[in-house]
Amino acid sequence: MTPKVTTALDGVVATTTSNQIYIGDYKRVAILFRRADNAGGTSKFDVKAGFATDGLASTDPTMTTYSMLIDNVANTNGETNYAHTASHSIAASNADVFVWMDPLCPATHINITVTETTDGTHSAYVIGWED
Amino acid sequence: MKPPKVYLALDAVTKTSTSEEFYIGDFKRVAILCRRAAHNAGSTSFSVNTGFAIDGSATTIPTMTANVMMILNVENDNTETNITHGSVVLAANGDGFGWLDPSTMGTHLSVTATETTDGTHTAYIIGWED
Repeated sequence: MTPKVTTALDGVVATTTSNQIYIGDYKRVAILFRRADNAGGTSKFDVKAGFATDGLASTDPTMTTYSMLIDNVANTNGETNYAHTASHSIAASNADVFVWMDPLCPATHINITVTETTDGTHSAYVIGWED
Repeated sequence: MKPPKVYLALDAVTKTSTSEEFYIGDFKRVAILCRRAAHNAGSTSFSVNTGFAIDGSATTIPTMTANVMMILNVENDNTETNITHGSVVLAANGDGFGWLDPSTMGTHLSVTATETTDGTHTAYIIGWED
C-alpha cells in the first residue's frame, strides 16, 4: 500500500492558498508543513475542508475551517485524547511539522493556506492512503 | 476506496423541516454538511435522528430517535474529548459540518433543521462505504 502525495504549496514566498485537493478516496490523510529560509518570521498553516455535493472530484466545494486535525503532541498517561486543531505555526526556525486528519471526520476536499509573517519559504504536502 | 455517496437531505427549506429517512447501513463513515443562506437575524439548528430497521431491510423505515453523538468540528486539547452534541447551529450564512461517530451509527438517518426567525436551510449526507 503506497500513499499518494500531493504538493499543495511548493516553496511559496508569500501568503498563499493552495488549490482544492480531492481526498474523498482516502481512508487516512497526513499533512506535512515545511518552513525554510527562516530569518526570524513565522509560517502559519491553516486547513479548510469541504464536501462536493455532486460527488465529483472535479467540483470545487465551499470550504470551511477544519478543526479536526490531530496534532503531533505528547500525552501524559493522564491525557488520553488526541488534541485537535485547525492550524499550525512554525516560528523562527526551519522545520517540518505534521498533523493528521481525524479518520472519524473525513471530507471530500481540503485546501491549505499559509500566512507569512516577515519571511520564509513555505511548503505543504498532502499524503493520502486509500486503504 | 470508493468515492463517497452524497444525498441531498434538505433542499433549501424555509421553515422547520425533517428530511426523509436515508439508509446508511452500508456506510462506515458519515459526514453531514449543513448550509444556511438568506440570513437576516436568525439561526438554524441542524440535528440528526437515527433508527434501526429491525428486519435488516433498507426499505423499511424505522422509528427515528434523536442521535446526540454527532462529532462537532471544534478544536480540543488533549485533556478534552471530541465534542459530541446533538446539533450544528449556524447563525450566519455559511457551511458547518459534523460527523457521525462510527461507534454510534444506525441503519437510517434523517436530518432536522429547526429555524429561528429566518433563513434557508440545506443539508447533505455524505457516506463512505469503506
